[in-house]
Amino acid sequence: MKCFRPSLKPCAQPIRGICAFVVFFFCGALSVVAQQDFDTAQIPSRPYTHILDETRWLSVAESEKIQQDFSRRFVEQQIDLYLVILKEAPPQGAESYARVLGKAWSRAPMWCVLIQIPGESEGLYVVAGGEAIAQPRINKAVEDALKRAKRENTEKDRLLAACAECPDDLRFVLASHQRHSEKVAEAVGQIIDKRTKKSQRKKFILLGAGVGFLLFVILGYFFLKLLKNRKKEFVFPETVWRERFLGPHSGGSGVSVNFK
Amino acid sequence: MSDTTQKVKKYPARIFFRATVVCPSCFQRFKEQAEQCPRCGFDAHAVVKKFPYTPPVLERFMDHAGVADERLITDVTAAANGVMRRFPQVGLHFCMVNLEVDVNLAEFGFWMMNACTLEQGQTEQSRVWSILLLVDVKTGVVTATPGYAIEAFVEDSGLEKLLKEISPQLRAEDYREALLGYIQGVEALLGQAAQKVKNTIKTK
Repeated sequence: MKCFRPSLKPCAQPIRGICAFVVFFFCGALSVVAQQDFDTAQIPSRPYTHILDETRWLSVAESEKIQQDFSRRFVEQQIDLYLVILKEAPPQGAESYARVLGKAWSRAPMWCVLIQIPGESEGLYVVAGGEAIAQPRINKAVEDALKRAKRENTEKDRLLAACAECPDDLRFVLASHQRHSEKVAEAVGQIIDKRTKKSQRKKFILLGAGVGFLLFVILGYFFLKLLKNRKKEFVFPETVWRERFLGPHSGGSGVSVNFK
Repeated sequence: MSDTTQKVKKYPARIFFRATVVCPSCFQRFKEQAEQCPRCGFDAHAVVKKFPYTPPVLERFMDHAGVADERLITDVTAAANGVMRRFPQVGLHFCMVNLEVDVNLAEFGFWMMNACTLEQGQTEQSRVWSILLLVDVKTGVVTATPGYAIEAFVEDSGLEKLLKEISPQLRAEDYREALLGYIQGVEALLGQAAQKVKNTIKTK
């Protein structure tokens, strides 16, 4: 038996599409607003001890040891490390939460946030990031460090191992990145220096040639002028003259000037 | 025979410069050459009677007034030699005198140019190419007396202008500057004359 469903009027279909779009738009907008609210309002302030332990799962001695290690690494290795211990997984997911915290708290070229949710089977999450460092390299380093840490037997040992292993690997990534950057900067500097020197040498040669040419022209001009103005010997032609006043050599002159 | 006597072409002086004749005694100007001044009767005999002295040798520099120092003589002689290198026929002579007030310096110049004996190496021919500059430091009069040959190329007006130009230095008794200025001026006049001669001969 053929089921027949009466179709909607043709004009009702576009109206339904528009309504669906509006509902979808509002949902999306609400989620973005909610996310923003979470980012700004629900991020706890940076723990100056590098450890945010809501559960007091770590003993005082363990906390102090980790804190000292993280502080040292921050100062010496420029890696900003934070350990966050939560009762339960955050609604947006532990890794997303760790990334948000890391970006908000970071004061160094590289950061790393370790989240531990005690009692969960996969309760250790590590997220790291850094300025101008390729994220896949960082992820690989974190992954390798976590693999090693997870070999430990107890949950706490795994965390402590991760607290030591992750910074070690990240330090290597950061150092190699910095070295590479320095090499690039040095190479660029050398190229610029070489170009500058070359250009300066070229300018100097051009200037020297210009000055030399100018000097040559000036000297040539004066030499030619000197040659032209050179006082050549001149012999006056013999003339026919007649003696006057019976003087054999001179007839005297009327050139007489009173200078007093 | 033709090797020893080379015939030199002679030009009439008037094609270069038509000078008017001036009597050195009365400064009368007249056109024709004369053995005596038609106005005052001036001639060589009259001047010899006027200056009955033993004529000196016409040297390059004669300082009878005692005003020239060694530096002046050296510098002036060197400058004059420079002019004579460029114009080898021309001879420049300088005489500083201290004459009496009533002596006519132009007449004295005529006497010197005609009566003075020749310097060693000087010829009759070279005397007519000479110009004698006479400076009477006592009366403050300066004259220039050219020989017959050179007067065809150096105009009286040029020499007179030159003497007027050096008058301030003579008045200040800076004889070195005055004589060096005179030599420079003479060289310029001779240079102009040489150019004029070249042009004239070219057109002829």
